[in-house]
Amino acid sequence: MTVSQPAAPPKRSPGLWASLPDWVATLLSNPRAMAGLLILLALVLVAVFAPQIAPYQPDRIVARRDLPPSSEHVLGTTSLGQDVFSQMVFGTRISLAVGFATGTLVVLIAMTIGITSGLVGGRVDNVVSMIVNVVLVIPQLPLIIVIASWARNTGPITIILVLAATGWAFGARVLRAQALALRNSEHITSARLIGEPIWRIVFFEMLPSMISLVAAAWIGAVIFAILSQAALEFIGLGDPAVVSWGTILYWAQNNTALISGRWWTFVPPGLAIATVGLALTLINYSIDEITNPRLRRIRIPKDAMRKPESRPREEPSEQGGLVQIRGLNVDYWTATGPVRAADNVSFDIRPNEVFGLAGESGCGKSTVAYAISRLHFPPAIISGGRIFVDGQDVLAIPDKQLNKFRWDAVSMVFQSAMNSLNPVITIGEQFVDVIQAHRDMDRKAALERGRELLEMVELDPDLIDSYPHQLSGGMRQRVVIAIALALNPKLLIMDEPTTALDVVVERQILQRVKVLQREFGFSILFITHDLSLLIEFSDRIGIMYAGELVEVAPAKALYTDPQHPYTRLLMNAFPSIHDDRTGRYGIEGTPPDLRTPPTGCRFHPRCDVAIAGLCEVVVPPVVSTGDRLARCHLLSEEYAERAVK
Amino acid sequence: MTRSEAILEAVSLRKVFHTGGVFSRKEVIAADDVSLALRPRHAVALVGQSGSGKSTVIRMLAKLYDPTAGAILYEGEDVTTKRKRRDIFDYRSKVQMIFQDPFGSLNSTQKIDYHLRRPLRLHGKVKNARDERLRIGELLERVSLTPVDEFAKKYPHQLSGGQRQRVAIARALAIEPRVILADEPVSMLDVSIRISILNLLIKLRDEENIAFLFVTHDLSSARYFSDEILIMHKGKIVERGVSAEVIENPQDDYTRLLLSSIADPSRVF
Repeated sequence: MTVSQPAAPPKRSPGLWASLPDWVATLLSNPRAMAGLLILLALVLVAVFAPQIAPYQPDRIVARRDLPPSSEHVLGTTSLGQDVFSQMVFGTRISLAVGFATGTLVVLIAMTIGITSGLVGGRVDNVVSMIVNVVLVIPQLPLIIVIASWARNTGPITIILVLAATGWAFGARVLRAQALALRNSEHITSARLIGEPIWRIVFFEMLPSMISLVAAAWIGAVIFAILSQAALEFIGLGDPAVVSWGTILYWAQNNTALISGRWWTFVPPGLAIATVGLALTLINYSIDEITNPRLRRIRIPKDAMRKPESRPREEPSEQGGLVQIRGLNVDYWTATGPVRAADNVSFDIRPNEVFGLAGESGCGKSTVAYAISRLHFPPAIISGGRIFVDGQDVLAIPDKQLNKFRWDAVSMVFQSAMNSLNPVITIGEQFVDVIQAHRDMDRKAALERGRELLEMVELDPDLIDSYPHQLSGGMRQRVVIAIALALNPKLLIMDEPTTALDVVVERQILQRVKVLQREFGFSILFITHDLSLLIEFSDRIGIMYAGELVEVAPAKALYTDPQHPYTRLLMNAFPSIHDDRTGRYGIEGTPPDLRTPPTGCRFHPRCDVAIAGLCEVVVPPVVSTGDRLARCHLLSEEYAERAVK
Repeated sequence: MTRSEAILEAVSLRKVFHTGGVFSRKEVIAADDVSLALRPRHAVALVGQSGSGKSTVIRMLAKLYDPTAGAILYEGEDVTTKRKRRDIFDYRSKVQMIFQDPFGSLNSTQKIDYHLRRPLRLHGKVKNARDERLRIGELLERVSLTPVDEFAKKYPHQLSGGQRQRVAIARALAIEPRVILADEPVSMLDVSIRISILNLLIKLRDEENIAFLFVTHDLSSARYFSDEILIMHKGKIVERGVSAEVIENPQDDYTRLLLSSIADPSRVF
């Protein structure tokens, strides 16, 4: 569905660029990541070319003691008369080396342990998880201090080893969870089935999906190692003969630089450590953005973001339906601009009516449902049109009053709604929550209403005291429907409400909903990909294609005499259960990319009766006859006249 | 047809799962006394709702799960207890599987030709690079992904769901299996393109004599594609027979309930 699908990555120029994995290219096009990478690169260059950059030997006494910064000594001198700037330059080597070495070691250990544990599973996994959890609760820095003070040689190598030995657990845990999730995924199983050896499964199938996690673990470990090393050296647990940012701090402290205000000996190492941290954090943040497309920034112009309620109010037409949708446009903003997911959609839902909406994935049917209850958030924006529900201009409702509108006037049941019940409170409490948020009703009365609602959806009222996990999927979906009906809404939107359930349970639930709908007189907007089910269950049906509503008709008329070629093809795309088996072909081709919809009639490339020279050029008119309408040239009078001639 | 014609047979398969942690043990009988026989140029549909045990059965046949009891016979030979890497590799060179999720079954970091090159190389189907290119092109053509050169160089995310499923089918075909186990191969696809995938499978069944096990929750597609339907409920097979027969003249109460629950506008209008 369009709602959840991130936009396809932007096209890249061929060559070296194209050979990079997507995430690397995205990383390089991200300004934050670029800033971080550049800072890091600069620091690495400083470390590599330290002898060329530093004006003096770092440990040699080259001037008088405690000189403040001057043109000769940019960062002054130490209490021994060494050049601070040269010490800083050479210190970069040790700090970065310790950081990178530790980070790499930590990630290697975490990967080996995590992936093995996740892949092998069973007992091995249980034992490893236990060890990981124990290591995780050990306070790292105090442990390092103990080990470092116990070890004889406290040079950089010891520090690297100690940090690596204690720092792998977090990464191992994250990677294990990921390996466990991937192990049973279909592409890993597929690879096993064609006979891929285990090492290829790990390196070619699993690691690419984990690379961002690995990178994040590495960056975290590097920052922690640099900080820990400086901290250890500062408190004197390092080798004071080695020149590093930590030992500069150590000597500054020992020579009372902090008290006497000789800032040039302790500010530079602090700033340098902070700079490394900043660079790595910038890169890490970008990795988050890359793995989670929702964090990615998409520039949306200000005027497109205008709050809907700031638009002028309009009045609904008098004789229209309960729900009136007029010229609705919904745009999804992507990196390359807006994509119109619902384009000029207009229809009514009458009082006491079941209105069905169908179409292929991505046709915009859910987009319309979301718009009616104002559930769109950027990058999805309602960019045009009007929606009236029971005389209320939905797009003009202030944000604060939306909550009331959503339960009182319109309520929604989604495909996965049964998993949205709060698992830690009883069914009764969930009724109380919803009812009390909207009605002035005491607890006892709300619970009584809850029991009544459970009976309405054919559940035992005593289930009011049970928890969601004690009920089956079908029972939970009934509870969700009961809660949706708690405040007698005028409109119930059901988006694939029973797709996750068995056909037997599906039928029972829908039959009950239909009885309730007739009894209480609310309207239903019913969305499903199952056209047979939709025809049986709805009074009127709308068919959507590529963001447009292409046909609206009463269910029976649509079934017996579809007007739009798409409707006809969709209906015949699959044989019904009692059909004799004959060769059928479905619908050729695939729905268009909404970024570049076809010219003329959007369906013309797949249409079996398209008129050459007309359908691919001219946008078809909406032709309405009686209580139905369709958007097709074949129905227009001009075409009929032309055909007669 | 006699038993001896079967390539792959399941004899009284049973699978018990143990759930719970180290200290608590609960038993779930996922499949019980399941027998079926797959023959060349013949499709058997295993139909059941979620939790009926149909996925467990197909995974036992793919040797992804070990059965608790019962036997799997390939050309009459008992392969149930074969667990050596080499034996399993040989078995899977004859028995392949297609999955439900066309978005999850391909490696998103590799191009389409990679997905076909790997099975060709692993199973020694090609001698040199030129041969390999020809075979990849031929496979893509067999699943109607043309122009082949264009599709070979695409990434999975550049294809639609139906096209990805065709790639998954081509990957299984690369190994030249005699049996294909298809686990809900069309249920995640749009209704408008399901039939084209089923038509492709029918073509493979009829023209290449492949034996199919088709696991599905949808009786309509089972009827369209299969010669024989087995209805599974709570781990057991409750009814079996020739497809049209099972649907037009169901004997079991559960089959009848299942049939009456399926939407059919012709019943209403």
